[in-house]
Amino acid sequence: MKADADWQAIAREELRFFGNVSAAISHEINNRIAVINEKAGLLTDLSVMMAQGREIDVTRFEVQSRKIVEQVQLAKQTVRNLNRFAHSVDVMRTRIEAAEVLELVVALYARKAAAAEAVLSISESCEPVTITSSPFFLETLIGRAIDVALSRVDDARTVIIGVEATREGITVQFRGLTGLTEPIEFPEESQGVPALLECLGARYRSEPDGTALLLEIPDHERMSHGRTA
Amino acid sequence: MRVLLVDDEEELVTALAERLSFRGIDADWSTSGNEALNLARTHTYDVAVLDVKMPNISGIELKKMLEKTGPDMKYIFLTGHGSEEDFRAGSAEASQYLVKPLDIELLIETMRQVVQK
Repeated sequence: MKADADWQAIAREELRFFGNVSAAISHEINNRIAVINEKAGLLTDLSVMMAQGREIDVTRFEVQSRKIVEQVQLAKQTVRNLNRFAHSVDVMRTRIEAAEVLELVVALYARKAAAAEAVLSISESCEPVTITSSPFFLETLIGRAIDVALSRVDDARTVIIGVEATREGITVQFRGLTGLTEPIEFPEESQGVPALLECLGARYRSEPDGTALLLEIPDHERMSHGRTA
Repeated sequence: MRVLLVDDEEELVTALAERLSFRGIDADWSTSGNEALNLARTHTYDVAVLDVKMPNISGIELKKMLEKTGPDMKYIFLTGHGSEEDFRAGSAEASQYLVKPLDIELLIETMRQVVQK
């Protein structure tokens, strides 16, 4: 049975991750609102100038209106992702399509990657694998792995993320790194990661050449079957 | 008044620059710190409006670099949320500090205030 201190560390880590992602998403939504605000202001300015008798190319209204719609679509997608993320705490354990979780976390981290002048790319050879685990814990471990990967991304500035089935569960790979060594070091604010890893029976390791971070996660369904067999 | 606008959201800075030009303010724009530095080396600006959070060079870092090219230039920082963290970073560095989405009339008033200081 886990000690109270471990559960507290996990709870702190989960709250911190939820807060980190929520802050980044709120920033992204605010950026869309700020752009829409300027575009709407520009349309108003053009309308006023037209009413004053200035000659305005009417296609400008169409172009700016289309750009507002594009911003609304971007914001809608961001809100959809936030909603999926928020609902991932609804169930403690379920059958998960690993590629779907990867896509969600990559979308949530896109702006953070851009700030680090890097790109997150899901490998085309990503296998369709499912696993029984905790969706939110899984998102946290993938997110924290991306944090590490962004701090170690090589000159190509692209982290290639893939997933493959293993005998015990899945391995999520983060390639395109340089100089990664074990033990994997996490930022000071992510000190609950070891307790979380222990809770899921997961572990991080690096490729011997330091170019990839691997996150190995056991399938809890297979683990429980293994115990009863 | 000549203004340099720097924000990594191109759709925001281009619209803002045009709206300022409608109000008689000459505004150049860039979407990165490096572009902004190049503009500042070849033009003189009264005020720079800098987004705090930008990839590579942040608004705070950019201000320090721009000060070497034009010591008389004044600065206004833009931030997404006006969070405590942003405020601590910005208040010590900027002449003024505005939260997005912007009120253009407030921006113009603020630019006039900092230029007159």
